[in-house]
Amino acid sequence: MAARTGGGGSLQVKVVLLGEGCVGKTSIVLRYVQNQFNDKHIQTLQASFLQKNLTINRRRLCLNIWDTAGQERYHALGPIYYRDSHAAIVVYDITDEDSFTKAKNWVRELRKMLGDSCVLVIVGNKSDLEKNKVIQEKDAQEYAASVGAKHFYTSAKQNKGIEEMFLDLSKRLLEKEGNNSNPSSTNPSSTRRPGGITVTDDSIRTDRPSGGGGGGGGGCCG
Amino acid sequence: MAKYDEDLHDNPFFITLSEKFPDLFDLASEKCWMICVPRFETVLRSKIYKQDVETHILLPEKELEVPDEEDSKSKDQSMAFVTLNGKYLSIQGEYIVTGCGFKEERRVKILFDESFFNSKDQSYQVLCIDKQLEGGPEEQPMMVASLETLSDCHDFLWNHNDPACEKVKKTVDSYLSSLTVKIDSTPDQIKDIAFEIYETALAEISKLPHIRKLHSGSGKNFFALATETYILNKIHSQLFRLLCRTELGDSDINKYTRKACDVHFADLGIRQEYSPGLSKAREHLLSLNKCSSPFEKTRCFKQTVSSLGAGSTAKGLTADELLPILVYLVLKSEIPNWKVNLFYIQQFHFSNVGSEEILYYLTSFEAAVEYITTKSLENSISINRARFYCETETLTVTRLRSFFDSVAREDVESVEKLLKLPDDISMSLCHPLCHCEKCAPIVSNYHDDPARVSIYSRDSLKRTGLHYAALMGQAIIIQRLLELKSDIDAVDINHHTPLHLACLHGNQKCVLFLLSEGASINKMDRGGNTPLHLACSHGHEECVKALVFNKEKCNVNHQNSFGDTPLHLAARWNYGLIVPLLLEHGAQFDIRNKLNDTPARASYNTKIFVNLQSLASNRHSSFSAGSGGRGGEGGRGGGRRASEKEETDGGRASSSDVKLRNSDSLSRNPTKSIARRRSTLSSDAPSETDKQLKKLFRAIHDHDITMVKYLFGNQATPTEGGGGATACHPLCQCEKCQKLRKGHLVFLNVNVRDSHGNTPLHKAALNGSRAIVDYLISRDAPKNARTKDELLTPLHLACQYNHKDVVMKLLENGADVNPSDVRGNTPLHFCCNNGHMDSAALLLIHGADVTALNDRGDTPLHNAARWNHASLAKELILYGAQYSHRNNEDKTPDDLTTDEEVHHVIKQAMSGEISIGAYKPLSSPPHAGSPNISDDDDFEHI
Repeated sequence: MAARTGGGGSLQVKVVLLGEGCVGKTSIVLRYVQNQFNDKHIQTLQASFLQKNLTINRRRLCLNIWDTAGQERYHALGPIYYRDSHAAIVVYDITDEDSFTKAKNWVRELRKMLGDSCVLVIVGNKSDLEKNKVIQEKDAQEYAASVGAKHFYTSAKQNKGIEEMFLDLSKRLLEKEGNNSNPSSTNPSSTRRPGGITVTDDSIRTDRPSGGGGGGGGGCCG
Repeated sequence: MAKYDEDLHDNPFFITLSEKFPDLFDLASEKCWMICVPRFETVLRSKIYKQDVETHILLPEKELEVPDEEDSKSKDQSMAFVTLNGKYLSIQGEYIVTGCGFKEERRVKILFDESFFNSKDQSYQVLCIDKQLEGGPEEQPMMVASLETLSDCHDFLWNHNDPACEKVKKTVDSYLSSLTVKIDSTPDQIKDIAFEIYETALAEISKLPHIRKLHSGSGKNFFALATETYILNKIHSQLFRLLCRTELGDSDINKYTRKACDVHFADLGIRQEYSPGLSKAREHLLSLNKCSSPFEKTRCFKQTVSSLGAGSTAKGLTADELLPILVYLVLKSEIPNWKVNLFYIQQFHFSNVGSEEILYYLTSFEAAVEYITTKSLENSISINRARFYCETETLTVTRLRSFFDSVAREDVESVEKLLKLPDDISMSLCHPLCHCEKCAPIVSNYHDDPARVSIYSRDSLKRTGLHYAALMGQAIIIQRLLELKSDIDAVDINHHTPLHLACLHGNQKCVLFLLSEGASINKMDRGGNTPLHLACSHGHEECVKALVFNKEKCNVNHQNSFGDTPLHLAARWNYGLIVPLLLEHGAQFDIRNKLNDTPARASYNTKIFVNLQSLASNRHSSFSAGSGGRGGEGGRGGGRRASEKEETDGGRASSSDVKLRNSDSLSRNPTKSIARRRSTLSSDAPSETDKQLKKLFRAIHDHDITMVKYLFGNQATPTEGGGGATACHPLCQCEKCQKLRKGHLVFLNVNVRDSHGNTPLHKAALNGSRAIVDYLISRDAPKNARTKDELLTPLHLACQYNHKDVVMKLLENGADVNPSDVRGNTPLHFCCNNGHMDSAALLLIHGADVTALNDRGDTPLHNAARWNHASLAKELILYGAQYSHRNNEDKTPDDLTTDEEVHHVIKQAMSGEISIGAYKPLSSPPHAGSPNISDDDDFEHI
């Protein structure tokens, strides 16, 4: 179950996206991974398996994001997809009561099959449709807390909350792997810490300007 | 698949940037500018100056214009940037192209990108690029950016014009070729063996200088992956076959896939827009079994998936859409060994490089295969089956549907009610059959009613009620419908008869019933498939039994439009029980399909392969040896079979140098057990078969046709004995019948041979028992079979003993008229030796070759002259025999004879009194010069 270390000393983690069909799982991950230069490629390839390299606190992480089929009739295949995953993102649609129930089912199943080893995030998507919201934030937050998960609101349409959600997820993954940090990423020869971020969970901002996708050079500089 | 990767924190350029120019670095990260980092090997740490660093920090060109549209980035083909020191460049796809301000134009490949985070947790992009955008060392160290194909791997390992390479390659190759795997190894044992080889090869290759130079993690990864791919490619054909043998459950999967292979993509919820990509994707997937390593197989998966997206304008293929498509592709791919393939990809990926991606594709296909065995697929299929309605709901359709529904439910009452004259009409008639002036219009009105349902009614698939009854296995309904004179051989849109559908869905009862009611057994559907083809490809053993039991009529060697015989299909889909069944009933194992594959080569299952292959090589060794490529089967198969043997020795992929000793010896050296193997292949009790064989030959000798028929299983009970209880049905497998039949269970087939290679037909020809010959021929006995050492055909034997009616029968049924035995004698030679005028005349009429030479150079005329058969000599001359031909001893026929009459005949010929070649055969020899008529050509294809 432990995350593997890949070629350049990068931590390979498997992240599964679960949730009913049409809650926008794929849009979330596409938003996150797409940026200026791989934009075109993704369109011609498929969107169900995507990779993203991250460096947080000098530690390299490669997120391997697995989209899964959400239709009811494929539900039984779930375990094939989420076995051995390090993190799971369970998505529901804030305007759809039923999708939240399904999300709860997924969470229950995950906890049963994977135990507590899996970093869990519950995401309410389509936050741009605030006025049609049927799942109350309080309920969702409470539920998430009760299963040891974090809750986020995202809008794939407006590109809101997605980066934050993945960053938080990545940090938690790194924390989990923290004790067995791999030697290749600690290089004594350099002293400076690029970026110099501190790991604090409430540093997440939810009102980022809606600029470039990956937050690169697209104009997201504050 | 395997891509370049490095830890940028170890990169000299990145270190210089962050340590020597911290202010620049901080500025760039605060502003979320993009940073380019040339890859490790291309940078000299000492030579990095401020301007170099500034050149590699990129600002969006339109930094000041706030992009207000949310999708501003995606439309443009290229993105424009300006460097910190004011030079312009753009990103086009995977490349950075330098522009205004740079000394020269460069296209630099982006190797990978990584997100970094600044103190505010904002991300900025760092790109690792192939070389510096400007300046940098002249000499670029060689680098492989990614491994995509087998040849990439090959180049990566070997292509260096280096003698050391050659040497190591030789060592590794010789190690690979010494590989031995026991034929009964378990999958885990096979894997261990392969892993050991992998490690040894790894150690060997790592000694190479260019491999030792590799510094980065990705270089090492490439090396491991390339090694794995290289060695697996070499040993794949052996290992994979053995894995296929181990029964990882593929025949079960195949039954499911065959059952559902007629699924329509809409039934799986696949959107129309993907349909153009599906056939392309299927094509890609078909090459799966040609790929030799997990690396290549995954690549095949990847291509399959990406070719799907190509046709659609969709943003990307989501998992919601992908899975049903994969299910569809698995069903349609006709790959018979999914489980083995998935196992192989998972277990033999020793290097673990790029495994995340491999794992994803593996899992997706695994899920698709898994799904096929679940109930929910069956549900969508049954929706498909029940799709007998048309698009518009008219009265006709409603009635038709209720008719077909009742058929499917086996609701005899409503079926009859629907087909009968409605009560109110029949009540108003004078008499149910009345045709008086008053009644006739009422009846004809009823018959003209377009919404009326009848036995002729068809749905949009052009299926009748009988089709649905056969499909759903409703024998009683079939009986009723046939009583009402339904067309038993009605064809639907795919040219399927009810019998086809019954075979397709494994309804043995219906098959038997339809056959007993006279359904045509050899009808072909659109793909040229007979019902037997369908039963074989769908693994319905019991239906196969039912069909071959009607042996006289059933053509077991029919080739469909792909050239596949039923045996090809059974072998391909791994049905270990059907293969012997077919062989037992006269299926030929050396027919080639359009891909030039024999059934043995169509199979991935080693067990089936070895069985079939040993049959083929038995035949090869016993017939082509010394036959000089002449005559029926020997000539047809000799050369080709020899080359096939080489191919199979080297495994399916001929590129392999490896010999697998076990299977090798099996296919190469089987001659010792020919007779036994041949007669025991299909039976578990060799002694029983031998006994039966002895009995059979005695019966032929005694002209006891009843006994012969019985021994071939033609009669359920023998004339003598076996009294008392009778079987429920000839094919019944119930306990009672099993016991009852126990003593006689081993039925012989017409291909059995004794230790000299004699078939029943040889014996019958020798004994001149016309009735038995007739019977054997009606059972498709091979007419040109040859004995083991003498290479005699039945025709030779019949001619030797002048059984002219047998000769006649053989010739009429496609026996080759000019086969030569081990000494080159044709049947005509035999006749001439013995002066059998009657048989000789028959041979001559059928185009026997009067110029044929035996090993001594004798023509038939030489023989006739030597043995003083004057009238025969005359006949030969009339058919064009040359009296002047000299044999190996330089003798003409005239020199050989001691008979005055013969001298006289030859003199007459010389003087022209007898005109040479005055008689012509009835028809010219059917296949002069080309391979002769062989068994499988006998069938008149409908």
